[in-house]
Formats: sequence, structure tokens, C-alpha cells
Amino acid sequence: MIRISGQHYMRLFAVSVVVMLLVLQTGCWSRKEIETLAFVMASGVDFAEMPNRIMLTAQIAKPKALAAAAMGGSDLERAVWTVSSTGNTIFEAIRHLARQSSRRAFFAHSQWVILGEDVARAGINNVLDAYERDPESRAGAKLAVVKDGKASDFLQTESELESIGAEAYLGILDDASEALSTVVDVDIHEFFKVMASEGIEPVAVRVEIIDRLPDVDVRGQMEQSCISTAPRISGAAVFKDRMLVGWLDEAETRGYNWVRGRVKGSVLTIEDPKEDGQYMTIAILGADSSIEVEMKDDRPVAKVRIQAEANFGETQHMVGRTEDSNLLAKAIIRRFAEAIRQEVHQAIDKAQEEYGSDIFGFGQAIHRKYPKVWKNLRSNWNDDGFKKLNVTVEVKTKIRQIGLVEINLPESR
Amino acid sequence: MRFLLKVLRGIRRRRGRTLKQLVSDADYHEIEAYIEQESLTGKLENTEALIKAAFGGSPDLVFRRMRLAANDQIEVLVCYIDGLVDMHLLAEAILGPIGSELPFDLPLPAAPKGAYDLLGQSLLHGAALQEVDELGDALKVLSKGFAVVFVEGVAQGQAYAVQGWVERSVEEPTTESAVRGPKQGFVENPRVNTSMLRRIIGAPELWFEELEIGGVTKTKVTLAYIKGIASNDLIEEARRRLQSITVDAVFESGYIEEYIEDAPFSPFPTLLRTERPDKAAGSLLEGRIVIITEGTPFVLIAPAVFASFLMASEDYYERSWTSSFLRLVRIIAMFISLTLPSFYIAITTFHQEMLPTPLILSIAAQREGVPFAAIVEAIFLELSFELLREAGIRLPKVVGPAISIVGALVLGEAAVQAGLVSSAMVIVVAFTAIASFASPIWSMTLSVHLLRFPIMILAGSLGLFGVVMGLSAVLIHLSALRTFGVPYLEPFSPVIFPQWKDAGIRAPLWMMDVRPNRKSEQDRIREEPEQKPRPPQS
Amino acid sequence: MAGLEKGKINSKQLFTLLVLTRLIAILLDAPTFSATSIGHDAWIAAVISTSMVLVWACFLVHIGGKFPGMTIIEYSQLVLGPWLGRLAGFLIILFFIQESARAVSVCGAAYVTAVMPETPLLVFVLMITFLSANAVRGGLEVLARAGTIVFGVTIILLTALLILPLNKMDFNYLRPMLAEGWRELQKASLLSFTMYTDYLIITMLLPYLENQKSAARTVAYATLVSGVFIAVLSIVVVVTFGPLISYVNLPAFSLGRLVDFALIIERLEIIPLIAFTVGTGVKQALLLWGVVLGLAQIFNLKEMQALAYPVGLLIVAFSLWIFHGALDKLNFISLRSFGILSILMGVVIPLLIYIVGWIRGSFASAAKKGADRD
Repeated sequence: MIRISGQHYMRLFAVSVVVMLLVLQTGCWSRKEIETLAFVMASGVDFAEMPNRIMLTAQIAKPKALAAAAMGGSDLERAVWTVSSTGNTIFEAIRHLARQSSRRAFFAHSQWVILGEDVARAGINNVLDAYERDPESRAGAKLAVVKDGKASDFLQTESELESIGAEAYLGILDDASEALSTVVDVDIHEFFKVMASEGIEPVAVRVEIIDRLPDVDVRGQMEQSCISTAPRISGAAVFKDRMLVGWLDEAETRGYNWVRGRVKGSVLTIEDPKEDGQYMTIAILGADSSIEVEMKDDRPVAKVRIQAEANFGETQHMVGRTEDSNLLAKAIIRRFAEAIRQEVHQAIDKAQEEYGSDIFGFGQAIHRKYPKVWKNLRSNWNDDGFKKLNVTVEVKTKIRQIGLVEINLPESR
Repeated sequence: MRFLLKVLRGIRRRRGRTLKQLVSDADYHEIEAYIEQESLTGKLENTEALIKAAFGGSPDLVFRRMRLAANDQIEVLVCYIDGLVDMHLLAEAILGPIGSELPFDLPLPAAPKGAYDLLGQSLLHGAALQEVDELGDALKVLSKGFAVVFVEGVAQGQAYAVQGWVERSVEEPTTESAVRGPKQGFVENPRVNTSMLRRIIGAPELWFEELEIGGVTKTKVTLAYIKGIASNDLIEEARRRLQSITVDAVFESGYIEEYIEDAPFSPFPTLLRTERPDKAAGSLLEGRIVIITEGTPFVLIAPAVFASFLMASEDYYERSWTSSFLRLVRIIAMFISLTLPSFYIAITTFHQEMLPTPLILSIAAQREGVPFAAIVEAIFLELSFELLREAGIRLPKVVGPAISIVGALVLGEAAVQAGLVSSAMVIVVAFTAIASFASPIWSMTLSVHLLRFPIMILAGSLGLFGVVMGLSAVLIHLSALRTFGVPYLEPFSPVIFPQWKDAGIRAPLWMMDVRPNRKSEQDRIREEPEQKPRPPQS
Repeated sequence: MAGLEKGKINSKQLFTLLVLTRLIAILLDAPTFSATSIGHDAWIAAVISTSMVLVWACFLVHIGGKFPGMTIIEYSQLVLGPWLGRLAGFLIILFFIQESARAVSVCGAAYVTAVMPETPLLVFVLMITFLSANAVRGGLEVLARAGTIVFGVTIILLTALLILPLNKMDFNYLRPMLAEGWRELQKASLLSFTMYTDYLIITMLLPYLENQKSAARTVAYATLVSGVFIAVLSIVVVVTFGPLISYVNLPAFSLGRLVDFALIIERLEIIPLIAFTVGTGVKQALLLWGVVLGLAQIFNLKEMQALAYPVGLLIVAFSLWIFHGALDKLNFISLRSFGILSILMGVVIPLLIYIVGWIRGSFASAAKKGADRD
């Protein structure tokens, strides 16, 4: 049994007091009181005029304005402050923010890294290192490229519903990927992972600046608004060898998502199988996909299998139908599969022919299945192997619910 | 040492001086020394004077000189302390028989000794007759509410237990109230307390040992255990520790606790105290010992491991699921009450990335314009909470509400309005306070309150690393603690799986078939196994 | 034993201490050092090295069984003679000191790298060492009891860490297996094995085990359980980081960085750090206990507790100059430097003692001595 004498305790107490005093004396090294921080919600990277090469733009939340808005005060004051600084590297530019900001720029809550198109086209190798190396930055921050614009301009866009731009972009991205799947949801970690993987090239979020319609007030008069631009998120930015090579539009992006199994939900409008000029809309619930590669005559061929499920959403021609509804349903399912196949081919064709960038990971599949074959293919995969790769697409679709009424409604009398 | 010298000197000086001189000198120690030496003489005059002197002529000391009605040659002195005896009982059992004829044909005693024996054997019928040979013994029993009867010419006295004083009746325990369960609480009278235990535990194996502790207060301390269930080592250890106490006064079981606990400098209590007889009885049946102290309703239970401070007796009366859930809540509450302010400080001043963005922005918005660092803010608010709590307990009940108004309004509302503290911090401190009151044992709550501050300082200077270091220091300390030879963290560390049925959770009673006891010689079987209730098989 | 350490531990406590020792050796680094050469096959190296450790640990238990009631410091003196034996014992103690310093320095460095860059390393190292020295003063029993709770906390936190990033995992990254070939895998496994040589502490702990018969079983369980954890951790890191694993510096930490709950707490990087910190405390305390006990046995001291703080200070000083920053650490952990050292200390010396003992016939006399003591 261990007996601890009182003396021991007194000594322990004395030592603890001394340690505690020491700690108090010197222990403010890493302390950063919350009010001394400027919370960067999103950061953008552009090229700057010489002599500095990089312009960093930070969208910083203003807690005071947020507090005022929460207290029921006017929310006229903008809740974010967008500020830019320049430097030779990103890290330097971040530090240079200190020239303008009274608070230390704190990047842990930066939800977006937004690149100007010219930066992305020049190669993002040197840009993203700072974000991955710094433990403060967030690995889950989304990576986006501004189409035909500068990141600093994009960060000036505002949204009606959210007071902080970055939150608005996040909301749009979430909403669009749930409802449309015409966007890609890529964060820095994911981008890096794909970039480092063999036989696959990364994509990033595509964002645009659109002109904002002027407000119309109750009396029907145009109101002069200080907000002039708004964000729009759709499509994808295609990279190759760490450089931006082009864009995918909405349909192509969904095609990309079909292959990658990233479609969470979307709507697809197909032509009525029986009546020309009439359309039906199908609400997609989700999809699974797999890429299979085979060796045929020493050349790889790839097969994409997609399984999609959907609910019947809407038909424009609903009355007076006389066909067997089973046959009709089968026709719809076929059309639906065909529409998907078209989108997928569209995306693959664009990647193969226009960009020569294997964003789908066919090379990766080969690498996993035939590591030895891959050794010969890897060096010239994007420009040679992938461009010549024969891809077949197999789509299986299923309609689950048709809603509260039959596909055929009875004829009106 | 000095006291001993003085006594010796007093004895030396006493020679050649009369008692009266001594009394007038009023040197208490000399009187004491004198009395200690003196045996009873049989002279009533003398006895009365001595007793009077010993009590310094206090007016509550009553002497009643009577002559035996049966034989008026025999003089009797009845002596008691007013207020400590039941007057009705005294009149009926002692004064009455002395002053009346013999009830039936008993031989009339002529000699004083005969009369004395007759009184003791047949006439007087107070309970608990005790022969008193020394003056010192007489003084002792007088203070305990006995009436002492002396007979002229007999160098002895008879002490009768006729106690009866005003005392609190058995009430619902105020510090440990329960929704379900017995509503009786212990009282100040140890005899009543032992009777309550007896009433719960019918078996004669419930043994009591009585000690008198306190050179001046002469407090009765009772050691209770169940022979055959409590381990002999434990009983021996408890007895040894109790016997080694030499102190002048014991007012409350806290006095005993301080002299027998294992780790006197630890912030954690190693003895459990309770007001509830059912809890004490339950502990006895788990093989623990109970120490009942005269004059306080709080009894001590030993050994008390850390887990037992998270239990309430109600756990055993409610259903197993709910009790287990409540224990979980209490564990979380204790953890919150120990660390929540520290975590808040650490996260908001060191690890801002850990909170979701909207939350951190909202906290940042609240802290706009607050002039103090979070750690200062937290310590200020915590201290004011401790102040409020203390003031709330000490204040007369009539002005109690005033404090809560001032506290809630001034500290809560105005400080936030004035921008001195952030409302998030007020919420954190309030939540911590609520959590700290969820602990069933007050002494553990206080320990946790105390430990909160150093951990807060560590959090303010080193962030979560500091918190982890603080908690580790507490853990090492807890690992080193033992209570009556039992590791304090048992059954979690060292791991004793069978006891987990009644530690973090409370398993159904029919599952707990073995007592939490590690000594092999003890009776370990609590119940027959396989008692799970089943519906009739028909 | 000479009554230096009066405490006894039971097999559960031995189990927890050993698992912690092995997990902590690798928790933050796993599986970077092997991944630089074999990438996503790191988990295979973990499995192979676990079986190597298993064989080696059983050997350590076996040799301990030949000298009942004696620590390696004592029986090296019995076998190799008083002076050579003391030298061997002293080398082992130096190894323990170095391992202890390395553990605490890695832990402190993780904080400096990742969470609190402005705070000096000394603060972290000093506080952890102070606490573990404090635990050592309480004796082996206190150490074991604190270790049990820490074990629980560590395992819970680790399990959470392994489960939470589930949505970021892609198990396809495990393919193709054995991409870099057998040779690299062998090297990586050997390197992993050398990381666990502080398991040598078994030879100090065995005499204080209550139930001697369970020793081999307990050690084997501890090795296997920790091996499973390490392998699972490696797999999780691989499937989460994919090819990035060769670049990521503190994988377990970065794993926490990825977790994004969006409920109350996000970015749980502090979770592996906390588990690692408390685990390091226990591991360091255990090694420190071994050092203190060994020193007392070499110099025939009557009391060991008083050595805890001075030796702790020594370890603090040592840990500050053992690595000059993160780059130095990567250089040190290689087969050429650390590998040779740890195999020499952990394998060669016990083997030498065993062979010499076998030749000189020391086993019988030791067994007799042990029987006499009982």
C-alpha cells in the first residue's frame, strides 16, 4: 500500500503553484483572443501587377455587423469586408494583409479557395501548397475557379439570402448538387488526392459572376442597389497536369457525375415517347456507377455501368392516353436511360477530344487492375491512351414512384 | 505536555488545602485533578459539594435530598441536570418510589447498604442502571442525562437513564431528498440512528461498537458493520483509526472524517457521508462500515470509492434503465462541471477552428467590445457564481430572494448589457452551475468546484493541452488515492468487471448476485441466481 | 527485487500498459515512414511487423521466465558477471531514456507543428515529463491504474477517429496490392519492427506481474490487439488519403482535420492529439519507471522514488536536443541509424544474455534462487 505523507502533498502543492505561476507568466504564446481575429470566410487568388506576382483577396466576416443584424438592427451594413493584398507567394500575401487589417487574418474558417481563371490556367501547383501545408487552413475548403473573371471580383458578389458571401456560395453548391447535380463538389483535400493519384485528373467547382437584376420595390420603381453582381455556380473546371484546360457545361458536368457516381438528385426532361413536342420530367433519386476495364488485344477497353433510380415528376401531356401504361413506362425508362447515356458520352467525348484529360479515372482503374500494363501506359496516358480509349456505357434505370396520379389520366368527357 | 505539568503541579499544591479553597480559586484544572483522584466517600454533603464544584455551580445542576419513605433514617441524594432528563420519567421512576411506601412486603432495610441494594434491585425502575464508583464517572453520566442516586453511607451511586431532552424529530433528509424511497432521515441522537438501522436490518449480525471520542465533549461514536459481510481487516482498520483519535472535541462527523481519512490533503473526499438510513444500510450490506457520530445526522461510510459519489439511493428503487441513464447524466454533469468553462476558454482562445463557422461568428459577435480576455471573464463570472451560491446558503431565508434578484439582474443582465462579459460566457457558467448541482453528494461537488479553477487557468494559458494536463494530474492523483485500502478508482481501475454492474450503470437487482467485496473469507452471495422474473409458462 | 518496487500489477494492467506503449510508438507517425517507400501497402508492413514483434516478445517472456522474479538489469548481472552485466544494463537504461525522450519530443513537436506553433517545445515536454515523473513516484500500481483509464480514453478516441472520416474513405485505394514489390515491403516491415523495440520494457515489468503463468498470453494479446489497431489505422489513413499518404506528415492528426461534423464540433484534429498526449504520458512514465528502477538496481540503491524527478529532468534536456526539428526526425527514423541501434538494444543484448546464460548454465541457479525467494 502506498502511503502518501502530508509533506509530500505540501510539496506537490508548492510545485503546482510554482508551475501554475510560471505558466501564467509566460503562457500567452499561442493565445489568440477571438476578438483579435479576422475570420476569413473565403479567399481568392489572382495574378497581380509586377513586382508582386500574387494578389490574395480575403472575404472577412464582420462580427459587429452580424451582431447588429441579430439584435434586430438594420442589416444595411455589409457583413463582410473584402480586402486584397499582394505578395510573391500566397503565404507572403497573407502576411501582407496585416498592412490593412487591424486583426490577424484567421484562415481556419475559410470555406472557399477561389482562383481566377488566369491563375488556374497558369498552373496551380505553387498556389495550393500553402493551403495544404498550413495546419490552420481547412482541408474541407471548396476549390473553385472563376470563369472569365478574377477571384477578387467574384468575392465581391453578394447574395440576397445570406449576409456572408462564402455561406451563400456553400448554400448554392449544396442546393445545386442535391437538386441538379450539375455542379461538382470538390474540396482541397479531394482535389489534392485526385491530383496525386495515378490515371485520374482533378476537376474543380466552376463559378461565374452574373449581373444582378435591380431590385423592384413595392411601388414598382427600380431601386438603385449598391449590389451589382451575384454569384452563380454550375459546371466544372477541368484540369490537366495541374493546369486548367477548359470547362464542362451543366449537362456535361452531370455526365461526369454519372460516371463518378456523384449524382445525388437531379431532374431530366425527356421527350414524350409517344407524342412529339411534349415533354416529361423525371426526378432522379440517385445513381451508382462502376468503371470496368478489360484488356482486348493488348489494348484496354473500358465499360461504365450506371444504375439510376428516379421518380416520375411531371408530364405535359396527361389526358386522353390510351396505350397500355406498362408499355408506356417501359418506353419512358428507355428514354431516360438514353438521355443519361447521351450526357455521359457528351462528357467523355469532350474530355477525350477537346481536353485530353482523364477526369473519370479510367487510368486509375487500369492501374488497379493491371498494374503491369499501366507501367507502360502511364507516361503518355492523357494524350495517347485515354484519347484512344474505347468506352462503352451501359445504363440501367428504374422508376420508383409515379406520384399521386397514374401516368395515364382518364380522358376528359 | 504543558497540561500534564499543570495537573501535576495542581496535585502537589492540593495538599493541605480544602476543597472550598480550591473552588474559590476556580482553577479548573486543579479541580479536575482533584476530582480525578477522589473516590466517593459516602458522605452526601461531600458528594454534593464535589459535584457542584466540578460543574462550577451551574444552575442547571439539580440536587434533591430525600429520605426514604420506608425508612426515614436513610438519606438519599438524587442528582441530575435539568433539561437533560425527562421530568415525568424522573418523577415516576425515581422520585416516586423513593418517596412512597414499599409496594409489597420487602424486608425493611436498616443499614444504608441494604437500602442501596434494595433501591437498585427492586424500587427504582429507570432504564440502564449503572453503578458509579468514582466521582469522575458520576460527572460523566450526569452530562449524558442520567440521574444519579446516592445513599448516605454508601460509597457508590446508581445512575439511571432517564434522558429526555428536546430534539428534532425524524424528518425527511434535507440534503438528500428522493422522489421515491423512504422519507426518514437520521437525527442527532445516535440511539435513534442505530434503531433506524436495526429496523432496516433485522439480522443479529448487525453489530455496533461504541467509542467515546473527545476529551471534553465525550461524544459517542458508533462503529456499525455486519459481521460476516464486512471484512475483518476493514473492521480492524476502522477500529484502529477511530481508537487512535485523541482530540478534545467532536461536533460533527466531519471531525471524525478528518482524523481517519486516507489522504488528508486530497481535494477529494474518501469517506461518504449520508443522512439516509437506507443508504447506510445498503452500504452495510455491501460490506462497508458505517460510523455514527452523536450530535449530527450525517453518518460516515467507508470505504468510499469514486464511483460511490455518483450514486443516489434512489437508483435502486427506480427501474434499471432509468437509473443507469441518470447515472450517466451525473457522470456527464460532473465532467461538465469540472471542465466546461475550461473547454470554452481553450476553444475560443486557442482552437477557434473547432467550432462550426456560424457558432464561432456568433461568439465573436458577442465578444465584440468585451474588454477582458476570456480567461479573466470566466474567472470573474465563476467567482461571482461561487459568491452567489455561498451568500444564498448563509443568508437568512427571508432575505434569500434578494440575492437571487441582485445576482440574476445585476450580474447576468447588466454585465452583458454593459458589455463587461459576453452572454455566451454567462450561458457557459450558468450551465456549469446547473451541472454541478446534479451531483448527489455535496462534498464531491465542492471538490469539483475547487478543481475547476486551476484547470481554467491551464486552459487559458495552454489551451486544450493545458486542460489535458490538468485532467491528467487529477487522474494521477486519483490513481494514487486509496480509501481504507481500496483503490479509489475501483472498479474502473483496477478493472473489476463484476462490479461494473453497479458503478457506471445500475444493472437489474436480480443480476447483482454477488457483493462487491474482494475478501474471500466473507459471505459474498447476495441472492440466489436466476431470479429474473418471467411470465407464467402456460 | 530488493523491495524497491512493492507494487504488483495484474495481467489486465500489463495488457493496457503494453498496448499503450506500442500504439504510442506509432500513432502519430503511422504509417508515414513506411509509406514513403511502399505507399498504400503500409498496412501490410504493419501486419508483418506485428508478427515479428509477437515472436520477439514471446522470446522476451521466455527469457524472463528463466530468471523468475528478476528484471533484465538483475539477470544480466547474474549472467554476464557484475561489471559486464552492469554495462549491458546501463546500455538498456540509456536506450529507455532515449526512447522516453523521443516519445515526449514527438508529442511536443506535434503540438508545435500543428496546433500551437508559437509555444516553445520545452513547455510541452516539461509538463508531460513532470506529470509522468509524478506518477512514477507513486509507484508501479499508480502508474498501472492511471494507465487503465488512459487506455480507455485512448481507445475510445481512436475508435472515434477511425470511424468518423468514413465518408471520405475510398477503399479502392488499397489496390493494387504489393505495388512496390517484396523487397521494399521487407525493409518497411523491418523498419516498423524497430519502432516497437521499447517493448523491451516487458523484461522490467514481468517480475511484478501477479499471475506469472498468464505472462505469455497477456503479452501476445497485447501485441495482437495493438497490431490490429495499427493495421486498421494504416488502412484508414491509406483509404482516406490515397496517394497523398506519402506527403502527409502527421496522418492521424490530418485524419482529424478532415472530420467535418457540422454539428457541434468540427475539425477533430485535437482528438488524436489528446489520445496521443495522455498515451505518451503513460508510455513515458513506464519507461521512466524502468530507468529509475534499473538505475536503483545497478547501483544497489535502497529507494528509487527519489530518482524520478532528476531522471525526468535529464529526459527533458535530452528530448530537446534529440531532434533538430522535423526534418531531423525523418532522417533519424531509418534502418541505418535508429534501426541498428534499436535492434542492438532490443534484440542483440537479450539474445546475448540468453545464449551466455545457456552456456554458463545460469538458468538453473536462477530458478533455484527464485524458488528460495518464494
